[in-house]
Amino acid sequence: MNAQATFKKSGWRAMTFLISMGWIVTNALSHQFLPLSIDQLVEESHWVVQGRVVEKSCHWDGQGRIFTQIKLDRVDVWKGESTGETFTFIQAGGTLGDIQMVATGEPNYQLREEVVVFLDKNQRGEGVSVGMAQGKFKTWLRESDQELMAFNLFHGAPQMDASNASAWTLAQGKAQGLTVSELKDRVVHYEK
Amino acid sequence: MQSFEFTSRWTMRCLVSLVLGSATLSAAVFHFAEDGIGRRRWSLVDLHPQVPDTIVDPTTRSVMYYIAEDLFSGPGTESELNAVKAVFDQWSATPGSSLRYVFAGMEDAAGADVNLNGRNVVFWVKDNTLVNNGQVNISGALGFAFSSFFLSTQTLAEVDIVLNGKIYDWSSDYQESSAIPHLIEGVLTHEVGHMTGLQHSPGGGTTMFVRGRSGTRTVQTGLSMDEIIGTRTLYPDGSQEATSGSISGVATMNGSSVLGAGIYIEDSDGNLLAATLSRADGSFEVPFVPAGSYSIWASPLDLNLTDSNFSLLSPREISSEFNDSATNFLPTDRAAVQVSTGQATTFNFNLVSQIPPFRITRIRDTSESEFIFTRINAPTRIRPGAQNVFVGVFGKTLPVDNPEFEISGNDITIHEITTQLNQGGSGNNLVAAKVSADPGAKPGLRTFIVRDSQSVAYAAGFIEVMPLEQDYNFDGLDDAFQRDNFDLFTAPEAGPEADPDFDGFVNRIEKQASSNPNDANSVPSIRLNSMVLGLNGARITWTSFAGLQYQVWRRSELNTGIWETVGSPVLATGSTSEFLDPQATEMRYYRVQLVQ
Repeated sequence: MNAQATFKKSGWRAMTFLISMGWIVTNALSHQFLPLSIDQLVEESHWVVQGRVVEKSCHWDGQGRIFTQIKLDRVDVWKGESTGETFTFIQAGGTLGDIQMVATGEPNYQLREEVVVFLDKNQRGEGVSVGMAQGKFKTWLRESDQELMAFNLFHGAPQMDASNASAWTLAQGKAQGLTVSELKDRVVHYEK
Repeated sequence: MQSFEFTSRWTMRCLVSLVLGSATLSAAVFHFAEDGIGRRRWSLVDLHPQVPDTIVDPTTRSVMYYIAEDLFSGPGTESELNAVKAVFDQWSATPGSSLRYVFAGMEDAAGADVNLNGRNVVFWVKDNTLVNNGQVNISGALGFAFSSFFLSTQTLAEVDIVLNGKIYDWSSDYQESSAIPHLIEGVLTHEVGHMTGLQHSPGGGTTMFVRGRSGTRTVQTGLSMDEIIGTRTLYPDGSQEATSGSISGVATMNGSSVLGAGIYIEDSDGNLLAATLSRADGSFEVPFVPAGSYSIWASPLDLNLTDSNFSLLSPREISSEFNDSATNFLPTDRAAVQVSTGQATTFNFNLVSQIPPFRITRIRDTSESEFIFTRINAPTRIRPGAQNVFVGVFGKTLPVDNPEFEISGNDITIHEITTQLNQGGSGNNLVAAKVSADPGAKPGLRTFIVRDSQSVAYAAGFIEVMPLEQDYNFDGLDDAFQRDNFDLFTAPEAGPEADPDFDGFVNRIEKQASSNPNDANSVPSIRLNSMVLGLNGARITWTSFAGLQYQVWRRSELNTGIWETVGSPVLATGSTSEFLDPQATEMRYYRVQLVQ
């Protein structure tokens, strides 16, 4: 038996083992999003900023588009240069008069919402959410230990009431929580 | 003895010896205006004064679209251009709908951008993940639709579709079976659904379901009945009112309205007809339901979990509008509901507030081996006539102690049910079965159902009985034939009544005859099957094509004499036709001419 034959046989055994253990998993593709890891988000970000949404304003960009400026206060800049006590970034779409523009996949920002945003820097030096909605983490306070938590489309876990917490446990076994401090640590200590 | 003589492209003759008496010759969820009434759509009947004629043609009432000239692989990549056109053509062909998309031309690649410039443009971004004048970063996104609309009426003003060619690879090959590159037709059909005005559907195999698989593994290319009804609702053409009614109602729980309850309607064959969600006031409505008998049920979406191993469809995957959907109520049993022509049928749900004891959160991909357990969070499929294949569903708390397992419809037989606790260490229990599908199983989207004494769980529309022939453009002709013979399978020249090679035989006939529709020298042949001389005369049978006319000729001698017609042309109604010559009392020679 030559080396190639040995490899094939052992490879087949491994495959047979994996099959028998039921370890073949295929995630279908979202029509829009392919998950970005936290490392990828950090890699592609010029800024990573924690803050509270205090203002949203819509504008024409002069080239036929409406865009929205989102202003954060209580700012903590985890990556990139600091811009002071507030931080303003933009996203596509918005409402002016009776015209509304929506880019499917862009996140919604609510006033007073606490967020961590991963932002690319465009040609005008403005911050733009990386991977559309993937670049927005919403934060919430876990009452049991007063820990600040974060989640986006694919990482962390959203806040839930007692009923939902029970449902979560039933459905997933445990909430895969992501603390803000853990997220910050991964950003600050990210190495290529 | 037999001989064949072709005297022109229009006719074929067969000579038959009478000596031997029996000679053997060898196919939704909407955006609403704040008043809760107006649905987002193109205004094609009452034109909006601020929508330019480069967006909606005021004469044809068609929605115009442009394609960036550099496509994905570069200018002139005809297959990619045709893939995009085919997608719009499929939506335009939706039966019972007046929606029409019309290709208006190529857009200068340098000018292709997302803006309100009076043109709907489809384009690939290839040199930067920052698009939309630097307002959108599309890392991790296959693409997006940028919709501009009038807020008060939800009338669409312009939609541009961006596909990510910077990071991802794309293919126009419908037969591409690998997960990468991404199938243009697969992703774009979904995005044009958004352009049409539809949101994500909770129905598993629908085009507007949030996830799909690539290449030939997808069940989401082609429009399902859910999209057909959704498009009819937005753009009715007046043809369906005479044969359809509607189903509407309200979902409540503990006296309060329920947001985001999945409402599913199934036809008498077990196929998913429509899937929608209750709105904030608990209301739902499914118009244009063909008159008939249906089953209806309500089932919760899964939780907004971040581990998709435990969630098949979460509210935020539908849209942010449904983020706060109620997810903790017991799925209802399927109830019978009757829809009558022109009648509005009301069915209300009084839901029971309780965390479902179990949910179906993954699908086992159909396998011929009982030892292969491929877990997917997308629909699977089964072929009519498939024998002893293995299907199943996963869920963390699915019952493993003698649960009931069912696939909707009566034409899929379940031979034996097996269960596995914590299958493969995945954290999910498995309920599986060996099944066979009848050869005549009705194509459509079927539903997995798991039940025990406490509850029931559904995966609605998550197994498709595949059609023997695909007809995504609803023209009655097998798409495979059209894809094989035409660059653009939805083009007019690929249509069933077109004759692109001018040989007198339309594509419908060339398909039946397995001849080449683009080669005038490749024409359908007529094969005489039998000729029987009896006391009542001579009976001739031949292979025919329904809808065509055939003329029988005769003469007394094989090589001499005048051919004379016998009787009037015969209109074929099936794959064989026959003619009786009552005057035949002795051996004669016959030929059959296709006269169309």
